[in-house]
Amino acid sequence: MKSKYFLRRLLVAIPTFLGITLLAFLVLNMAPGSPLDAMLADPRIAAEELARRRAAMGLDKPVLVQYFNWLGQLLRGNFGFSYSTQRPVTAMILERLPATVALSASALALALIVSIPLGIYAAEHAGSGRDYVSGGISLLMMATPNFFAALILIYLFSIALGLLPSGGMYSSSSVHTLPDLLRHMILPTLVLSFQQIGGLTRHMRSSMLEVMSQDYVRTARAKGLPWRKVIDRHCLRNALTPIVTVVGMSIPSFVGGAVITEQVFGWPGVGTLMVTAINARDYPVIMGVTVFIAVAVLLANLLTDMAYGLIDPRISYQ
Amino acid sequence: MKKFLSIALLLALALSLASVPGVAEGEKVITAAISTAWDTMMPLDTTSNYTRMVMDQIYDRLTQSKADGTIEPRLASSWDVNDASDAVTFHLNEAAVWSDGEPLTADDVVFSFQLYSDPAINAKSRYHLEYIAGVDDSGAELSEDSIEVTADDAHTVTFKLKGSMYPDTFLQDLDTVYIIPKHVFEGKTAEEINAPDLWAKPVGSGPFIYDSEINGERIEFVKNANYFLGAPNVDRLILRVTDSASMLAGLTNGELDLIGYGSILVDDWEMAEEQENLVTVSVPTTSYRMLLINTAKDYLTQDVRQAISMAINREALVGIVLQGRGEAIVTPFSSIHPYYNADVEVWYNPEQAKQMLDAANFPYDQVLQFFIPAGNSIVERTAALIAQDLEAVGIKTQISQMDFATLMSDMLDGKHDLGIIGSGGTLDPSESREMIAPDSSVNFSQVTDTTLADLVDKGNAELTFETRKPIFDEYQVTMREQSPIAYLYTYDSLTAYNKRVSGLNVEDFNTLNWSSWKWDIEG
Repeated sequence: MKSKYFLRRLLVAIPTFLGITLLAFLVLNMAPGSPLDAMLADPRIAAEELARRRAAMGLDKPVLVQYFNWLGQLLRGNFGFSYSTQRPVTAMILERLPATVALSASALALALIVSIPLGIYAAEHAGSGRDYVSGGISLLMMATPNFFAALILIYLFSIALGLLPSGGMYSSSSVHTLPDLLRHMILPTLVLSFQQIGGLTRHMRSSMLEVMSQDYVRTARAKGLPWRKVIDRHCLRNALTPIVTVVGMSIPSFVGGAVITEQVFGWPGVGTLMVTAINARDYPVIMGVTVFIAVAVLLANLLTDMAYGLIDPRISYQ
Repeated sequence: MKKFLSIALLLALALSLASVPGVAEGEKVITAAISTAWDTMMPLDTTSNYTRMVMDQIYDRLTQSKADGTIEPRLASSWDVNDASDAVTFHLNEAAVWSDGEPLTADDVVFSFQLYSDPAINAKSRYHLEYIAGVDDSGAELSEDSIEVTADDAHTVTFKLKGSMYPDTFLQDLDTVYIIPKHVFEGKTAEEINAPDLWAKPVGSGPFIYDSEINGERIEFVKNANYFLGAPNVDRLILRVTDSASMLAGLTNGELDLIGYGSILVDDWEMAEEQENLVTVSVPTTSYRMLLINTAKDYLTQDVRQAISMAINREALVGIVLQGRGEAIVTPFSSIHPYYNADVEVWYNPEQAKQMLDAANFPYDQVLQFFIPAGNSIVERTAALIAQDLEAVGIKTQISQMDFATLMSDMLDGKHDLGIIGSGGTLDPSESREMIAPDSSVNFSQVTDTTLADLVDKGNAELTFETRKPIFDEYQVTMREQSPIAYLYTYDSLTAYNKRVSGLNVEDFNTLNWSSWKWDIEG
């Protein structure tokens, strides 16, 4: 039953995916400004040169023809070549992906490590001063824009205390070590996790409060089970189900959400690649990253559904 | 809960303290910041100065320019211009070799120019060849290898020009054309040359040799011990992509040693000057911003354009927006420009502007569409102050921000009334021609009158500074009079470097002259 369900979900994902690509391609082409307009940053580029480029890029063909050419390439596993660098888009994305995944995964891990205990703590002390403090901190974290948090942390840890680097992936040395990389990850990870921590703590708190008011929890407590055990064995697992949804849905947004953080910290991820590509109207790269994000969203949805079953045996797949 | 927090804190502490990055023993390293990543490894196919800084480490060019307009030898030790001023002969440095040990000869120079001019090759920089005989206006060859660049002997190359011209214009234009190795690219198809593979591990003749890169974050070079102008003083050069907002932090805590291409934010400048480990230099440049006025709109007549230009308080823009780090201008020429006409004064007279608008029956209920590029706080503040100045004389504006490609596209379509863009400017007095010539692909002001372009062409046809100067003086007078563009200000490059670094020519960086082999750093 389970495998049939997921196969069906996968099949439904195909037209969704094609729809996304078509829409993205059309919107991209409808947007004012073309790759040739972006080249006008240098006013001396001659009209003949622009005409040559237009033909070489295939931009002189109708949009739908361009789309099907692109789709045909994609089905053969080829994302095309960047207009700016002439490099294969697949290689450009794969080269940037580890940096984004490392940053996003560590930010998510940090967010979970901090927010789950904090949410439980807040729920346990609901209505108390400690709950308000935790709520206040969460809201502050959610409301602080990434670039602002980044600049504050850079000033504090990099300039005032001189403890951590202000940007980049490695120090100025020919030797690139893992500890050096991890040192450079601390500040961007903190910044990227801020809003997640705020949001997840609030979700965790309300989810725990809901579970804690259930009859079976009251029964467990009435039976004389220690409070800690009630929380760990009976409440936590049930309270995690909505958190899985939130986390699942937030995974793709990490790619887009990391843009500002990547930019400020000079972190060479997919986010900065996308921004550069949009500014240069580098259609193949923009479409490549869009496809990548679309696949990430579809997969994240599927994985979230699968995770439900693992966490909550009451959920069945039909 | 406590356990979780303790572990997290311990981990953070351990990472921040325990790991001092490894440095290869005795290695002298300079890390220079660039605020935008390089866009390609193909020196022909870029118009980005950030990319040019990367290329300048790997490859050589015949000459390079200084901020005062003088030309310095690079691959060419010297050059002669013939009496007719229509041919230039370069004498190459005979010690020049490629990083793979092959000698660099005149054949490499000829091959490079043939490659640049081949329309089958992707070469955005091709327009730099436009003055050479045998190519069209875009720099493309008229027939196979028709470009008239010939090797006289192994170390002498002659460039035949389309006609007699002022030689400095040609030389300054040529200084972003990089010489590439014939033995690597000869016999390859256009498809192979346009693909990135052949360029990925470049064979160059420049002061440094490509070592590695993290795309979008850094590119690393090791010194070329055989560099013909002298082996670099440092062993390793790292160019690191650093956002302008975090440049000062990197310089302050010693992660960065200097700014290669880019500028500290104006808002950070005071703080930069207070840092004890830094030398700060505010370098006047030819870079400027301008207010484009759409001359095709019937309500933006010459009188109205003059009134708009006259209503802008440029000194206030420089004082408030640039914190004094710039110069008010009314033509593309600032006082550092050799062709500057001091008689064409910056004007500011709101009362007269108002009278001129009244006399021209300006439709005050018309809201002028004012387009600006997004993401640049200096431009945003400039636009806001201009809007206030215009409001003071009764002109209403609606500011719209958009990304650069949209801005270009919409202004080419003439959807704007006003628009702000910037230009790097150069010491070539004809640099601004593209913006006001009816036949140009960037004629955003929709100019149809050829008077200004004709003046530039007339000036360019003269062969000495003395005969050119009066014509470009007239160009400035006419530019202010016609006001298709209200030039606003030039802005300084705000640069800083660590006191441990020496041998820098920061005043020349803006003219793409780094001379990085002369840089040094205390151990």
